[in-house]
Amino acid sequence: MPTRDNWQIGRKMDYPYEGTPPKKQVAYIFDTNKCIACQTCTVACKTCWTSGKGQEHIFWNNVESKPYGGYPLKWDVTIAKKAGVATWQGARLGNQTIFEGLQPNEPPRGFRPDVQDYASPNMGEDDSAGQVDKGAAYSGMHPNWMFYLARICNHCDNPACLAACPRKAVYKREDDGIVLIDQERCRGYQECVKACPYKKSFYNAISRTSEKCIGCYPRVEQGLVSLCTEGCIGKIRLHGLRTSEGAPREDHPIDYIVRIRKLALPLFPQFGTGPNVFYIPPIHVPDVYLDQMFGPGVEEARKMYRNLKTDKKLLGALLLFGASDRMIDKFAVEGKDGAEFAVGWDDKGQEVCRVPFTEAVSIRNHLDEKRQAYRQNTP
Amino acid sequence: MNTMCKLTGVATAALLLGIACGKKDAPTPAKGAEAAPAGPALIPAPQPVPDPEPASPTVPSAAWQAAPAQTVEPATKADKLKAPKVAKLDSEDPNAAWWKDAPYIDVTMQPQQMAMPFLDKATVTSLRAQVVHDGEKLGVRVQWEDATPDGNVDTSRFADAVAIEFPLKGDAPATMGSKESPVQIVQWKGLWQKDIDVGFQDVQDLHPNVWNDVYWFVEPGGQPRVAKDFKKPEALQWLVALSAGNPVAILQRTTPVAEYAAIGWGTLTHQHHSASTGRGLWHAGKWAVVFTRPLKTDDSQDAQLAAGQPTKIAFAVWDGGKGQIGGRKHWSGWNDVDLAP
Repeated sequence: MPTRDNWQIGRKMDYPYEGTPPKKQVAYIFDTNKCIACQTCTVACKTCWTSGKGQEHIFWNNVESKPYGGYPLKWDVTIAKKAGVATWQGARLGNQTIFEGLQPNEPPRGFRPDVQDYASPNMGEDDSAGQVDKGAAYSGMHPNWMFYLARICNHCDNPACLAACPRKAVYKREDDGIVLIDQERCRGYQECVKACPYKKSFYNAISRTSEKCIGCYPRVEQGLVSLCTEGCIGKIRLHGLRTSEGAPREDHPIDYIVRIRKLALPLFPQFGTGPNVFYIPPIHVPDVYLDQMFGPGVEEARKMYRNLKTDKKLLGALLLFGASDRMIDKFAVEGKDGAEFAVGWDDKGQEVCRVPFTEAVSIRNHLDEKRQAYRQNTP
Repeated sequence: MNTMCKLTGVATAALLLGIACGKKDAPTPAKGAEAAPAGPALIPAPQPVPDPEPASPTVPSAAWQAAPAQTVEPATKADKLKAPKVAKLDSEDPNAAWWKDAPYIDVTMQPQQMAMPFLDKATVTSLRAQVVHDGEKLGVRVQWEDATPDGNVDTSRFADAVAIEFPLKGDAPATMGSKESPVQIVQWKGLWQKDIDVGFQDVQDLHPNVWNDVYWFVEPGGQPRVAKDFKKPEALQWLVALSAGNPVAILQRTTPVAEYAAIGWGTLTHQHHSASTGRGLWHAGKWAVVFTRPLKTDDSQDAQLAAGQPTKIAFAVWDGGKGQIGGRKHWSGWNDVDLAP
């Protein structure tokens, strides 16, 4: 089997196909600390792309509560069990990816969910990691925790769906690395549903084909961010095209946050698919859980996040989240103490956002002079 | 939250925290598991989660595959497939009179273990095959044992199927042909037979308790049926496979068979012109499926046959109830066929 470099696991790994990386790679950063699970992203996606018959259970975007939630049910525990507990030697993965240790011609290690695993899209919502003893009161850090995990297709560097399709109906686009299922060629064998460790390929019983997140490619082609990104009211998402070949760029927000500063981490890098949705880990969740989920580097990322106030460039990059409906290709922090801005430009060099580090404050008097009326502090 | 989810969630946390869940196959605890915070320790030991739904067909349909009045059982065994000439091959009925007398052979079926994905274990080992012709049309009847008629369609649900293959040139490999020597394949699917016999299986057939608030651009409201009520093009816009012309997505199916061309593994491609027809009947633990096709066609992707000439035929069969789909199939090598003059 050919091998490929996988920077997320610090080594080469087996993958069934040779291949050059795409010219650019679609990538996302989700800040888990800011997500409130309002599901606006889910609705934005579903309304546009999956409102049809047979797509009732298809959520290209979903937000689940960790540790108990998951859609389809137990997707993470099931694949984590199959793949084994990740062991890291520094930044190098010690154990096998889902593509390794297979018999010749064996598809990637996976499993196919059953029908009922799709019955409850938000099972475990808001449940925390443990029960609170009767009479217990919280003081300081909570011993129990939960957080929201927004999930879409990872448009992986080494897609398991693509590797598993016997018909080569799954392909990765050269220009932006978006992974698509050819709806003309798919015959609904569900091999991709089985192989995708993130379970982001779904079977549609009406069209009788498998369907997956299309990365809002018609928007990406116009330089626009995906609907889940634009719709996010908490501005937890940044969507763009990261550098896929050569050195990551200091002035590219995704390159900077993911590759240079390593504040955002891939989800389950041990699977070896090279996912391109990167998560800023929650700052209040035990490492032992997050290490399995996001690989090495969780503690460093959290330290960095806590120090953001004094880390102007990184803070500037984070201010770009949700700041424009255009994909940002270049950013800089401009201005001086107290009046700094994070400025973003698209790939044509057009300025698309200018976000102040400190929002302007306007204090309105209790008495409105013009109308001779008192302002009430009501919405 | 219900109990099942709670327990599932416990298992999730236990695994990801590196805590062994008490099962024999639980992974070794990750280093540092001892340092787990107090929270998860409060969780009671997980109990096995019962499977709430057996992995069996989702849509039992009494109307489908009810026993026919009488069944024909091939009577004459031969050592080679010979296609006798019959007066008029005007029916796809597997119980048509000529199938009683046409000589049959039993074809050994093997699990496909050459191309990804493999069928690990054969569940169908033999298939009974017959061929007849009437000078214009060829008829092929196959019969094999299968305890359940599966016309399933859903996640992890599959349908029974059978396929016949003809070489376009003499040296075509039976393993889906080759670039130099293409093959013609005709497949029958239990799912398509069910489409015709009892109608398109809609969401409300598969999941009677599902309620969806709205399907855009569809009148009436409520739970409309896609094959009947989705009339406006904009109502169908989310059925991308249908819009793309993918024949698996046809809502109004008229035949349970489809013709393909192939030039090697993974190349199976639907033929736009199909002259084949067919019908499948399940009775008492057996499928009997008939294919018919013209001996000669004007389609360059079809094998051209003639009375008095030999040809070859290969078979593939799937048991959908056992998760067989695509390359996870049983197949045979070539079988010589003599067409009577």
